[in-house]
Amino acid sequence: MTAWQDLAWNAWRDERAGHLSASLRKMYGQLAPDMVDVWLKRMDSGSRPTGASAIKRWLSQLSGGLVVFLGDLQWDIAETAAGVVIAYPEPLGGDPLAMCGAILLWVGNDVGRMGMAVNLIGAALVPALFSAKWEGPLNGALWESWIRGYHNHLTLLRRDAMASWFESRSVVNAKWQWPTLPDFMEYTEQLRYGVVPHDRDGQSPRDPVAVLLALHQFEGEERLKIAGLAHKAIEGRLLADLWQQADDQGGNRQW
Amino acid sequence: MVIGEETLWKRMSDPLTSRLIVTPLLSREQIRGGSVDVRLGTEFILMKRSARGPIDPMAMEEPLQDYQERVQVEVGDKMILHPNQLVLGVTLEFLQVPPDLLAYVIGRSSWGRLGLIVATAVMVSPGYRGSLTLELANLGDTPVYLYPGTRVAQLVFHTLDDSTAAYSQRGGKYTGPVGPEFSKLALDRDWQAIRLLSQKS
Repeated sequence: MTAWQDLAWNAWRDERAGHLSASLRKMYGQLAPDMVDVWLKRMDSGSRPTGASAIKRWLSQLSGGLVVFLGDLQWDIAETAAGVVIAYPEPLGGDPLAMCGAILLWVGNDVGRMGMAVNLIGAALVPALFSAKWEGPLNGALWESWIRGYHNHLTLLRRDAMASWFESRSVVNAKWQWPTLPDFMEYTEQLRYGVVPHDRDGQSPRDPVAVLLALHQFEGEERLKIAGLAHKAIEGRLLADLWQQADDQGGNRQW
Repeated sequence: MVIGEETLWKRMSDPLTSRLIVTPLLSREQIRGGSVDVRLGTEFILMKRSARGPIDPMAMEEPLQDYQERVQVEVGDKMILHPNQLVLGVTLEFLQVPPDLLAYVIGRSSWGRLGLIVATAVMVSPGYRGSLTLELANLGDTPVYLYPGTRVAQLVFHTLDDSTAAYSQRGGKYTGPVGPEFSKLALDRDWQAIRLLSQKS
């Protein structure tokens, strides 16, 4: 006979899972049994980050599947055949650069994945790691060398020094081709002035990574205040690209 | 004097402090004739029926979560607006009005004919920076769907005949938001006097 406590537990699971969206329910059904309850509680809270939809899109592109973010107090990741589900520290949700920590979480110690991530947002990866003040389980030799290199490079915020640091990284038989560091000074000025980074024709910045690097130039309360401006610029770029694609398909080119 | 299309484009290339900013601009056609079309953004504040009591503008330090709920509706999704329902929306675009201009917000009549009233706060002050909070109300008898990304209003820019201190320098309450903002009526200085008078009576 099943214990009444187990019955209560199962009833609680059924009720909670019944509220989940179809995609979440599918992921939930594929989680490892010992992780089900932890993730169900997170899924049930239904919270979502405000600054991470761009990162979610990048991660979908990298992983080739569905990605769901769930607010929590710490980083965590579960990969299922139905997609990737990521728990993030909710206080960081409004900061798009900090939320790039999710990409590092997905990379783990996988050199192949690291190469893919470098190709996509390379120049912002290391700032992201420290923006998120991430102290997760990525403590292998690969990451230690990264972190040591980062700390040793005290002039990192100077653009030239930052570029040369990126170019010189070579870790564990993998030498990645870091993308050229984009120009982010104009966007830094715009953030300091208090407006959403933009180009002069009103379009969103062509390269979201430049906005992330501009955001990285700010610390403390200033950083908290302007993270939303950076987020708005990145979202604007993604939306503009999607809009253009849809527009082209409709045969009505506007730019 | 109303600012025309050519000048609007020129002002978008001015130095940062005097620049007209409208971003993201998804289509060049948004700036046409003497106006700038603005789109409905993705964030909304829904007004809730509270069990705690009426909204008292003199005591708005009460937790606003009792009266409002923020929701996100992505472009491509839709949100229903019921008859007599009020929601706060926001323009998709972030704006900066140069210090020598002001703007008027005009709801599109095409929406008005469906019962949707947009933006009761019609003037955007010189020097304002931020997205615009839009008060959206369905005055019709039939629910209406709201689609983020659609053009909901127009901005018409006017010159000022003398220089005016920019909104933020005058202590404006709404500088810099990128999402809809709940009323900041409680920050009005008038409340101090009204509160004192109410204690005497």
